[in-house]
Amino acid sequence: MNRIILLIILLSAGLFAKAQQAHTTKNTRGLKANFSAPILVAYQENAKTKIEDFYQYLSLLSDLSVSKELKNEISANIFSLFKNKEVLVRDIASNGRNPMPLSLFIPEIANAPSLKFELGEITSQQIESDSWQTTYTVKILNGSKKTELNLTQRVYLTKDFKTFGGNSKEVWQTFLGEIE
Amino acid sequence: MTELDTFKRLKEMVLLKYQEHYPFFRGTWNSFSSQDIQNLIGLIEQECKQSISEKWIYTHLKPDVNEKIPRKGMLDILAVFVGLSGWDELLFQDKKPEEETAPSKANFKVISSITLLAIMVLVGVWYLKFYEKAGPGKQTIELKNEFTNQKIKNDEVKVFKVQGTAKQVLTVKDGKVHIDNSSGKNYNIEITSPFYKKKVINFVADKVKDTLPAEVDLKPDDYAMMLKAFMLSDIKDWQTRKNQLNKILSDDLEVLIMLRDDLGAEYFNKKEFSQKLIVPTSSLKQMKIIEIKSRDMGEIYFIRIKQ
Repeated sequence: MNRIILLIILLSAGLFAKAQQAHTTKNTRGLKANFSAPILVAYQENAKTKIEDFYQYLSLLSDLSVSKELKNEISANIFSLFKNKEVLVRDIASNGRNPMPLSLFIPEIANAPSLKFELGEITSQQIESDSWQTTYTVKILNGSKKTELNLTQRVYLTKDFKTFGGNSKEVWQTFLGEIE
Repeated sequence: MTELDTFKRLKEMVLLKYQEHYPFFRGTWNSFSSQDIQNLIGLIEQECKQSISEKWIYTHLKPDVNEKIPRKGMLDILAVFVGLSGWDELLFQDKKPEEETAPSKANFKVISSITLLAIMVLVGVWYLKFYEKAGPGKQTIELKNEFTNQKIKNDEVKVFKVQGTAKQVLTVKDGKVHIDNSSGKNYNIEITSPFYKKKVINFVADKVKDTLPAEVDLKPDDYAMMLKAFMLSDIKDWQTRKNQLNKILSDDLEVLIMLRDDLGAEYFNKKEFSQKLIVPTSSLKQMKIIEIKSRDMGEIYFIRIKQ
């Protein structure tokens, strides 16, 4: 009897996980089928402010005068901009070419001494099924040392369930993705 | 008056402008802290879309006595910040009285003609004002903050003339609304704002003069005002802001940040939106609240924002 109950629980959990996956995975019809070109351009513009916010947060995160508690808040803000904490980003602080997960990159910046990030103009490339690529230049100021990097970053536009207190609704949302 | 005197005056005007945004600051340039400097840099970026460095402020604004005039480009930025067209306008203002008090060689006829012309202009202006007030078809009402008695900003309020099912948007200019009464019918004036309590004024055509006030005081919505201030604030006092946000925002809060040209919106819940306000970025400072919905106890449950 216990085995049957266990089997039912496992089966239900499997079905639930599959249903959740269906909600959060990329839209199979593709963005172009869901949105007109002007709307997609509006989403691309919106995503640019997220990239700008990201680099402002990084500068603050590296600021020596910022308390540890506030750094935790800033880190939370950065994570909320991205698809998830394991998104791979280029280790721009040490100018390393190897990608590292965001979850490791953020503490590295928080412990780096007063880096400043200056973002150049952001351009968005052609839309793919659930995302597009952006390119931009970032100047990293480390005391008197200045490094300039040309980077590409993916931006995702996905439909997810979001909770508002006791309610939830399906909404489209942009998330930042991999940085190369 | 020398250019250095004019620059000194400009510095005082910048301080006054700064106090409009940060009323708690009551000091001088001498007591202008590094945090104040950061606030000022943010304000100038926000209002003039220009940047000014911390070093420049330390070099040129902080000292009590300046030995030389900074470069004109920077003076122009500060002059625009205080509401002038540029540095030249301020110089012109300061030099004008000198020219006027300088010994004049103009003959009596010229002076008489100018005086006569000035009197005619004044009479004309007075007549037009009187005509506008007393005219049977037109009325002007001024919108003011009930507590501060300051004019309401044009973009913070919407005024509608409601006649039956027809709703007409009225233009607000310089905190004033011009209303056309010529229809001879009764109507309502609806004043709505994200930051002030809604007000409806009933106009009875027969008693327009009794029912139409020259000034309408709007009561600020405390929580909405707090939210507006938070969006423009800096990182300082983030913990207090976090606690207050938890109090003023409802748990089921929905925030819609509209995309360009209102082509869609991105949704934020209470946690996400509070996080944004705890650590404000320059993009947040450029956003504008266009709609707020609150419950009876004041808790905000809906916010619409324009980027």
